[in-house]
Amino acid sequence: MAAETIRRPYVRHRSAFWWTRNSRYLLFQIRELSSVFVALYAFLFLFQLWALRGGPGSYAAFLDFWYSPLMILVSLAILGFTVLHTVTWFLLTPKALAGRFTRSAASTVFIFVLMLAVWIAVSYLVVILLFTPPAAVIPSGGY
Amino acid sequence: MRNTRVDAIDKVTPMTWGLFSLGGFIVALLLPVFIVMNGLAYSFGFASFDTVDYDATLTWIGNPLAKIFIVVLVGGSLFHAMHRIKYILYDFGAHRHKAVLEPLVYGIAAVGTIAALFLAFSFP
Repeated sequence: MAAETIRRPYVRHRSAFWWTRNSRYLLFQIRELSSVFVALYAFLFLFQLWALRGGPGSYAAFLDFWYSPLMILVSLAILGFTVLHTVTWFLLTPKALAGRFTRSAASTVFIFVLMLAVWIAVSYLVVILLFTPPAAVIPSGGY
Repeated sequence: MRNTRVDAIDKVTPMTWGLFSLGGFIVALLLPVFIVMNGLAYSFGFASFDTVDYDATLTWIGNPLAKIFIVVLVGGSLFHAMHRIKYILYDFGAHRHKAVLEPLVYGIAAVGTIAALFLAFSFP
């Protein structure tokens, strides 16, 4: 009976800043970074719901914070990163689909344009179904 | 003795990638419009204050569809984003601490989703 060998898994050395060496790696990492902003928005929204539960005074304080110039800039940054996510996600949608047709260059463009159309339709439905009847927010100078 | 241990089939990794993928579509389709409607529309003068104040927000969340939307949006965002954040941390050299990071990131996503469920349905 041979002795059991105790092995440590091999971990290849890699610089923590490997992604700064090449613009493609950098763009990849900026896209991945969008997730930090998505998570931040989810937690800010949970904080908003918490403030809403606290009553009118607590929500008024939240609105002062939410509509401060700094937070408007933060919201714009989150929106920018989220749109970057949306565009890159639709570009890789055809790559995740199986089949020969979906791997061609023409179908990549077709599926990307199709996903953009779906995005616009879903956004419109969200505004109509969730926002217009109770809290009439009409984004085209309705006031 | 020869190593006869057979690695258990990994059921967690495919599930986290599945949630990442589903969350990716939820974020892509629903988050931009929500960021605009929940803040920027008023900031840039496309909506009046009485559409974003306490009463309007309570009315908005009174819609059952809004409650479901909140849970789907927060859950999708967190399971998608925490998965990607895990791989960002791996890229920065944290791949040696996989055993700690995996339960931590998905734990945060799960707690956030449960919080969204509880908060959304706590309103009349």
